Amino acid sequence: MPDWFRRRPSSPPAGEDAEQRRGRHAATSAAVPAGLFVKCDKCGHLLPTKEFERDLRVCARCGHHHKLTADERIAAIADADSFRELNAHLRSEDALAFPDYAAKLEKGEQASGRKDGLVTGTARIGGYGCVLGVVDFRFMGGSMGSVFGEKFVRAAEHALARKLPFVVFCASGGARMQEGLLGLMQMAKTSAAVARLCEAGVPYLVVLTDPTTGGAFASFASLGDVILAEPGAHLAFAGARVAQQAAQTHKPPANYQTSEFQEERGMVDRVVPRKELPATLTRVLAFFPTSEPSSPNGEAALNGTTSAAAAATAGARNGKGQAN
Amino acid sequence: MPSMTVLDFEKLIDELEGNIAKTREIAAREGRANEVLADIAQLEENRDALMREFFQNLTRWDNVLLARHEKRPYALDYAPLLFDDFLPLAGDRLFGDDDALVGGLAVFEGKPVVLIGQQKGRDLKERTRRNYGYARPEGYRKALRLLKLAERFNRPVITLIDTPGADANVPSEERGISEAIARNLREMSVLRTPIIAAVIGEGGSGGALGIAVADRVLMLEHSIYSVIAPEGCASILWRDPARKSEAAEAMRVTARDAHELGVVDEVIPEPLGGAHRDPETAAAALKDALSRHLKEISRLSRTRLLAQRYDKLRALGRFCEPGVDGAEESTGGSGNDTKPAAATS
Repeated sequence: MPDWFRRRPSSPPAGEDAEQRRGRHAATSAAVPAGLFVKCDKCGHLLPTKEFERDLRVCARCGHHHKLTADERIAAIADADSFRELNAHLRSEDALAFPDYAAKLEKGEQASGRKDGLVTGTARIGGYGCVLGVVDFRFMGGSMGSVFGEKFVRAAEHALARKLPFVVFCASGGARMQEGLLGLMQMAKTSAAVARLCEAGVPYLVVLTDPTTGGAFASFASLGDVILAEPGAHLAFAGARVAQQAAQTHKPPANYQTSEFQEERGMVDRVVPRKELPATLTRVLAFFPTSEPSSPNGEAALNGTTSAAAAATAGARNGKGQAN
Repeated sequence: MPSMTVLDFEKLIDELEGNIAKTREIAAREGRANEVLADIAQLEENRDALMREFFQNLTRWDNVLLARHEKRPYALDYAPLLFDDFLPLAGDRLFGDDDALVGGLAVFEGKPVVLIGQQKGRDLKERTRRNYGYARPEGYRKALRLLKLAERFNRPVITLIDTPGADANVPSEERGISEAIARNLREMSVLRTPIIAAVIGEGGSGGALGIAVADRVLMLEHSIYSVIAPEGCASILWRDPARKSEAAEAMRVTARDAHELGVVDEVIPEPLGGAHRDPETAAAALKDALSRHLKEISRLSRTRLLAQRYDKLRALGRFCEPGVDGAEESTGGSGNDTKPAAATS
C-alpha cells in the first residue's frame, strides 16, 4: 500500500492534553506535504495535493476549510512579498513556573517556527496598506499569553500611529491557562487596544477562523468594526465539555457554535469562503477614509520610523497621542 | 492536620464553639456564670490560636473553598453595609434582565455612585433564580447600560465581583455572551468616569473580568481570581478534575498571587476565619479601601485617569524581550515602563 494511502493514527498519543491534540491536528492532518494525495479531515475524500494547495486547503468536494499555518495564511491573504513582520523576537516567560509550560512552549516553537502563535506585521491587501495579525494554531492552540497580548497591542499601536487599518485573523482556544491570571488579563489588554483604535477612527477588522473560542471570542475577536468568518469554523464561548453539559438542558441547533450559527444570530457580518477573502477584504478596506492604495513611498508609510510616526507611537503609549 | 481542608477545620471550630456555649449555658443555669468566666476566656483563646495557626497555613485550595463558602457574604449582603442607599435597577433594554448580575444607584459616603455586582443565591430557590451566579448576556448588557449612565452623569462606579464564570448555556451562546463580555472590556477601558472593582468571592474567568476592568482592582483576602476554574484546568490539562487542588496551586489563584502578578492593587484583610465569620468587619475593611482608592482616583482629571487606566492595562503580562542593542534579556510588562527594552534606545 502506498505511503500516502496509509491512515493517520486516529487515537492521540498517551499523555497528550487537549491543546497539544489540537496543535498536532493542525500540524499533521491535511498538511502532509509528502504524498500525492491528501485526505479531507471532514469528508475523507482524497484530494490531489497540488489541487488542494491551489484551493488554499479547502476540500474541493465538501468545502471544509482546513487550518492554515501563519505563513500559509499570510500567503493566502497579503499581496505578494508585502508582509514585514514586527516584534517576532518577543518570547514567553514562565512567570508562574507552571508544570510543563516550558516544554509546551518549546514544542510550540518547534511546531510553528515562531516564538508565539500570534504573528504580526505590516502588509498590503489588494494594494491597501494595513497592519496584519494572524494566528498559528500550532503554537499552543493559539492561546493568549503575555506575548500574544503584547504583540497584539504593539500591532494596534503601530496601526494607530500610522492610521493604518488593523486586520486580524483569529484562531485561538482563548486565554492561556499556563499564565494564570496574566493569561486572562490579555483579554482586557487586547480589548483596551481595540478601544483606542475605535476612538481614533482607525478601522479594526476581524476574520474568524477555525477555531475561535473562549477568551479570544469574548474579547478582541468579537470587537471588529467588520467581522467576517470562514465557513464552518468552530466559534464559541463555551468549550466542548461545557457545551455538552449545556446541551442536556437546552437542545442546540444543528449548526450550533459554527460560523453559520453566529451569522444567523447576528454576531458575524458575513461568512466568506477562503478564496474570496482577499477580494472581500479589499472591498471592506476601500470603504474607510484611512485606507489608501499603494503609493510610491509605500514601505515608508507602513514601517517608516519617521519622527511623526515615532512621536505618535510614544504619545499613544503615554495616553495622549491620539488624534481627535 | 495536613490533609484537613478548611471546611473540615471549620467543623472542629464549630464543635469547640458549641462546647463553649454549652459550658456558658450550664454555668448560667446553675448560677455559677462568674466562676467559669476564666475557663471560657481560656477556651476562646485556644480557639483563636488554633484558627490563627490554621489560617496561616491555608493552601490555595482552601482559599477556593473559602471564596465559594456557602455562608460567604455576597454583593447584596455587602450593599447595605457599604452604601447609605441602594436602588436596584433592571433590564438591558434589549432582551431581558439577569438576576445573577445586579446593579443600580447607590450612595457611597454621601455621594451618588453606580453599584454593579454579581450575585449568587443563598438557598436553592434563590440560586436557581440567580443561575448560581453565572451571568448571562443580559446581565453584562445591563451592566454596560449602567456604566454608560454613570459616565454621562459623572458618577463613579463600584463593581463587586463574585461569579464562577459567565453562563455558557445554549441561550447565552445564542444571544452572544462573548460579544457582551468583549464589548464591556472595550467600553470599560475607556469609560470616562472612575471605576473600582473589588473581588469579594469568586473571580471566575471572563465572566468576572466582564465587569472588572477598572482603575483600581481590590481583592478580599480569601477571594480568588482565576483564568479558569481549578476543576476545568485539571480536566483539560490532566483529564482529571479531581486534581483541582493541584491546578489551584499551579495557576496561583489567591488574592496574594494576583497582587504579586501586578493584577490587583490591594489585598483587603478579612477577619480571622474568613469574611463569613464577621461580615461587618469585612465590610468595614472593604469600605475603608474603597473610600481611599476612590478619593485618589477622583482627584485625577479625566484625561489623566484614562491614560493611567490604559497604562495599567497595557502593562499586564510578563514576557522576555531580547535586548535591542545586544543588551541582556529584559522582562517586560511589570513596571510602569511599558516597552522595557526598546524604551531606552
